[in-house]
Amino acid sequence: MDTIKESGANIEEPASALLIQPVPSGAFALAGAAVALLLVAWLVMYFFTFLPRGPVG
Amino acid sequence: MAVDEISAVQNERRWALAMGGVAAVMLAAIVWAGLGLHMNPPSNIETVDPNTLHVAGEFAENNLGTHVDSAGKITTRIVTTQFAFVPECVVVPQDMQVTFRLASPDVIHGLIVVGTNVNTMVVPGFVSQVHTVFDKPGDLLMPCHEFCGLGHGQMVAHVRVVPIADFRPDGDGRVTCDN
Amino acid sequence: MTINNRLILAHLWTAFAAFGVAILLGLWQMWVRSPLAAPLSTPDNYYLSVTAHGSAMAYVLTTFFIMGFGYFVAESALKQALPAPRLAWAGFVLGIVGTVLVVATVLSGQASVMFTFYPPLSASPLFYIGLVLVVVGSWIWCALMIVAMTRWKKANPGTPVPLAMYATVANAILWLWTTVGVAAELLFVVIPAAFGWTQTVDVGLTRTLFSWTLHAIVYFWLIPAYIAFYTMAPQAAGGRLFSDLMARGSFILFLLCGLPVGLHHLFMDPEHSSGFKTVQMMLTVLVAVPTLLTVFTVTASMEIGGRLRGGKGLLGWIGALPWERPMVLATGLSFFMLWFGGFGGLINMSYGMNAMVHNTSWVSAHFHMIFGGSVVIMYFAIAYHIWPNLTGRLAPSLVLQRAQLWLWAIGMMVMSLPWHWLGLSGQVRRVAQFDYADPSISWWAPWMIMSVVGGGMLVISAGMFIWNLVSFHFERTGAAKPGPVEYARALHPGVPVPAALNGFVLWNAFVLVLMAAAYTYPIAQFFILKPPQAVVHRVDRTP
Ligand SMILES: [Cu+2]
Ligand SMILES: [Cu+2]
Repeated sequence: MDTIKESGANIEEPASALLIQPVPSGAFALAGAAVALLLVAWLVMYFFTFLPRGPVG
Repeated sequence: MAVDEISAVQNERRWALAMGGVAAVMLAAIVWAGLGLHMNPPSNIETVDPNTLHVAGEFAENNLGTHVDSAGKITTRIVTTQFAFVPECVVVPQDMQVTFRLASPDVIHGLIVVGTNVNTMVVPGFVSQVHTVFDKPGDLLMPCHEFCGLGHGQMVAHVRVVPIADFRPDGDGRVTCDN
Repeated sequence: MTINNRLILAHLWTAFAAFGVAILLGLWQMWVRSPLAAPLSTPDNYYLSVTAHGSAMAYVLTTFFIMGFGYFVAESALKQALPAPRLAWAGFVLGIVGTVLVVATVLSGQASVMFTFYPPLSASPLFYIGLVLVVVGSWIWCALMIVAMTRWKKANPGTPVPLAMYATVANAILWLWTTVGVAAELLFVVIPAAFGWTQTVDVGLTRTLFSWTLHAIVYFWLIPAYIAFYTMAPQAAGGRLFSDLMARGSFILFLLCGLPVGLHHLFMDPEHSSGFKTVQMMLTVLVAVPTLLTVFTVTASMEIGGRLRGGKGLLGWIGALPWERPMVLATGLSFFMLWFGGFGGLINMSYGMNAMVHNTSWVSAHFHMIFGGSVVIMYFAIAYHIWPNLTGRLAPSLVLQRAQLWLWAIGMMVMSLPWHWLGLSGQVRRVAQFDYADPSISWWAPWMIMSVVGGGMLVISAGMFIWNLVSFHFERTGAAKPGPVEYARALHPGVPVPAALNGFVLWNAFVLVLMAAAYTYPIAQFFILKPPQAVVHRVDRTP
């Protein structure tokens, strides 16, 4: 049986100021990659499925 | 405002700008498809009385199917009804502009011509109109795609795309799957 | 600590009971559609089941969960008792009576019209009245949320409303706006027709009114998940909320942009012009903004947690996160599924591109991934997170909780991923049986069996979820007592919050203007054009 320790509350303020310096470079990298992939996937659908399926109007 | 929060908001703004760029790329492509390539959803807002459409006029039974008018314009008229397409097979020529016109006498239906961008709802009270060009010959499946009652699953039709040489209208300009 | 625990538990257990039944129906539906022979497989049973599955998941699970969670937030975040708990119970009873009417009419085969109604099809009037009662019960909840926040603001001048509560009230206000469309459709058109007072309906008008509700209702469902992303996940990860102001901004954007976009569900409809469709497509692109902001803000908040725990480098913080905590794990899995659900949604909203997928299995894939996946997994995580508080007992097993969450995410991928390519290949929704002997579709068969397997995983996961919650109630209260639920603190606490980001008056005015611009003409056109009406088709009486 495991339990969750109280989280977050043990962070010292000065330590947090020091540690979070690189934030949010990681978030930019991760979320940026995800959205870039999303755009690529959308463009693939646009050019390789939608346009070849022919004109409608 | 604390300096740190300002920097956080600045980071968020940078992110939002990048996301705006992504959205702009997609919007540009969509608008180009709509205005440049004329790829738009069916939006003709044309009314028809569902209760009398089978009696006379455009959607009377003898007018259904594919018809070539004197100017050479090709129109395929189909009535979607519980639980069948009338007619259940239509012929269209390859590589020529075809106009589908559809109406329902009873409830909501819809259709997709599999493998193409032909897709529309058929809403009682309105005529659905789709212009398209089929670039390959073959028999395409056209199922009803909106729940219309217990027989919905049985509602399937076919679009037969034939090379222009095999597309031969009769004296009235009609082409059917039987001839 | 919360005071009205019985009220909260009554709502949440109602939600999860409906979920537990509906998921069994979902598995059976997949089985019927697959090439495997399923028992009781008739169109009558299939459409009865689809109606029950949709109504239970979309109306009962969501509404009761959101109400129960809202009451929890109102007491735990504001640290004050709920105003008028008796009224809250009255709302609950209304919802239960409504649910019983819906269940009775659907199970007796009097209401196989899907949870989206499709007039001129017409079910037993009691089906619609049941849904109206559920909605009216939820309106009481909306009022109580607004009153709770207003009272708290009076008692705490100069202090910003805690984010979790601010977001909950945003959702309550969003819901009040959202339900206007479906309420008008039901009260003015559908119910009079169901009683036989009118013999015809204006189908275009009913579709337009329902579209008013159809997009924003999804935001109503997912805002609890976003509340967990912003206020619970960073706390569980040992991080801080990266920006409280941006979080408030995102919830306001949901309120503003979630509503005037419903016509994107009618892109393939003949009764609206390409002009209004284009306008609402553009507004729909704006709807993506708060989600994309959320992805960034929450990722940054988690990054803080990972770095404080010793994560180094550009991505080293990911591995340093406490993935053993269900809330953290669920958030990760939810974001993963959000990518696929978001991708499906982007194709749906892309105007002309909607023609590739409209009413095909692609659409089912999209909303199962985004609602059943990203959102419902957060409902699970929220339940795990607050159940210690509600029962006064610690979790019997975090291992089982984690296993349940993993199985849910994997099952959802296995079930719904194939629907994307099946939909693109012309597999339509809501068809009970396919002719797998047809050579053009025979290749679907293995993918459909894969979906059944995924559905089976989801059923097992759902069973584990119910078990995990039930076992709380049977756990003996030990010496260790769970602490109160703490919401994530902002990275930079004490930042002054502008009045606009601490209330909703201004934003309601914006919504009014946006909705007037987006919907006045699309609705008015039916009164100008007066399209011929369609005769009502009853499904509740055999002719
Ligand atoms: Cu149908
Ligand atoms: Cu939508």
